Order: sequence, then C-alpha cells, then structure tokens
Amino acid sequence: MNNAQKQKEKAAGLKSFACAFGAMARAPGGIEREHAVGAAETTLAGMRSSIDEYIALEFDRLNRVVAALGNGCSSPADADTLYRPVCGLRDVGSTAGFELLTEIARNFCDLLEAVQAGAQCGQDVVDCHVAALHVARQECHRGTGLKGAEELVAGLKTILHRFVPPES
Amino acid sequence: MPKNTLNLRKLNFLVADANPFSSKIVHSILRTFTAESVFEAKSAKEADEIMVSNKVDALLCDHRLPGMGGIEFARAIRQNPEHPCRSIPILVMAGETRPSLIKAARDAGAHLVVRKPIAPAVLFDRLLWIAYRARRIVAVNGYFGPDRRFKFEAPPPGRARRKDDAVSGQGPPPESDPERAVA
Repeated sequence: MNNAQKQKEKAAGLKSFACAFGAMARAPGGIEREHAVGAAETTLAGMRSSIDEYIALEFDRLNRVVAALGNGCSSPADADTLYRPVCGLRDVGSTAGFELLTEIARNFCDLLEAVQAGAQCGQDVVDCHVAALHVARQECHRGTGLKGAEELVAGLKTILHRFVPPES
Repeated sequence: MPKNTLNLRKLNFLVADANPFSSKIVHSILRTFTAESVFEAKSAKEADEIMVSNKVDALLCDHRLPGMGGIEFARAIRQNPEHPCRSIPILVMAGETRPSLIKAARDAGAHLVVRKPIAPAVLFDRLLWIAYRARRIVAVNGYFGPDRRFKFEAPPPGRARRKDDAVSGQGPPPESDPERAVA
C-alpha cells in the first residue's frame, strides 16, 4: 500500500485489526489439499450408511408433515413445519451422492421461504415437490448428478419463479 | 510453503448449526483436515457462550441459525467491541447463494458464504483462501470485518478458473468461486 492510499484511509477513519488465523493456518507441517480432500471424502464415504438412515428419517418426517397439513402450505407456520425436513434433505443429499435430491430440496426450501415471507402456495405445488423428492431418492439417481432429470429441475424452477423472481 | 497446504492443528473451530447431522458432517470434514478442536452449537446463544468461554479461531455458522440467523449473528459479533472473537474468520453456511444473501453477509462482516451441503474440496479451498489471501480486518464507518475491497486475480497455481477448464479438472466449482461467494 502506498503512502497516498494510507493517507486516504487515515482520513476516512479506517483502522486495522489483527487476525491470527492466517499465520497459524500457514504454519509449516500442514496437510496438502489433495490429501486432505481425499481423506475427507473417504471419511464421508464411511458415514454413508448413517447418512442414508438420516435421509430415511427426514422422509418419514416429511411424509408425516405433508399428511398433517393436508390442504397445501398456505401460512408461514405451515412453511416452517415443512421447512425442517426439506432443509435436512437439502443439507445432506449430495453428500450421500444424491445431487438431484439436494437440488429439488433446495428449490423447495426457496419456495417455503417465500411462503414464510407471505406467499401462498397450493397443495399441487407441495405435492409435485414431494413427489420429485421421492423420485430423486431412488438408488438409480445416486452418483449421477442431475443427468436425465434436467427437465424436472427446470420445471420446478419455473414453478419457484412464479413465487420468487430470479435474482440477476 | 506451498499455497495448497493448511495447518489447522492448533486452530479451534466452532460449527453453529441447528441440524446436528449437518453439523456432524462439517465437524468430521474439519477433523479430517487435521483440526483437533471443533466445537458444536445448535443456536446463536449456545455458540456465543462457547466463544466467550473458549478460544475459537474460526466460526462456521448456518444462515438459519436459531436465535438470530447466521448473518445477524456475524454482525452481532463484529459490532461488539468487547467480543473475544470479533476478528476471527466467519463463514456463513447457506442452502442458497443468492446475490442479496452474499451482499448481506458481506456487509455484516462475514468472510465467506459457503453453499450447503458442504463439500470437502469447497471447504478446503475456502480455508485456503482465508489463509493465503488474508484480508485486513478493518473498522470504518460503522462497519467492522474483513476489508470488502479486494481483487480476484487468478485461481491458485495449477487450478482451473472454472469446473470445465482443462488445467486440472479439479478446480473449485463455480459456486466456490471466491469472486461470486466471498464477502
């Protein structure tokens, strides 16, 4: 930083503070990216069965919530109830190889956030998302990314954009 | 010192996420990255108590953290001159990375927004970014946090700019591009 910049910052009242993280993380004896990422992926692969169990639990919870709601998702409270299991599926889906599950759950979460903010969402919209989640959970979609489901994802995005305009 | 290496052994992480399973996954990833100490909290209140009573060097908090949400939690930490963790890196974990969310996180003083589910490669690249492209922690005009003025010059050596580039095929995916997702 040159003197002119320093003077400009001083005039603007800018003050700097210390943060030790960088120096400590750069210390010798660390782990290389390739090794670290490989080891972490192996660790997650070892957790696969417990992640699958968690996904099954979240589906059970989702099915119960959908059955209890019965008539769409019309209030922020309904959206709150639905949000938790859908969010759970989104947050672990791709970790277990179900990228499509994560993508659909992400779309559904965005939709539910819109309802939490006051949008009205009918039973048909909830049903098509729930049905899509069940499709995405099928073993044939594990490890395949979004392949073969591009139209499904695009269709759900179109529905979402009726409630939430895309940000540029 | 190669710029693709991290030494996290002596660093204490705090993962604040109401979803215990999601938190467990991030915890496991950090432990595999050789971090020996990873705390977990289920709410902003619990996270704050941990930060006050323990040395915490980096915080990963969920965007929807119960209590006040991850972004407001980051702001509360940054705006409290007495907070022991005021200057530490804060990563907000969010299910989506809308521009408005990224801007809000940036203005609250968060270092980065990381998209959930957290992938090991993305998290490692984020930590590399914080360690090797460290931004000054500044206070100016009511803002406290990492300097929001920065320039993305190039991906790390040997790494592709985008997923489809041909350099190594292992570069960070577009959503991990710091230019898009860094506060």
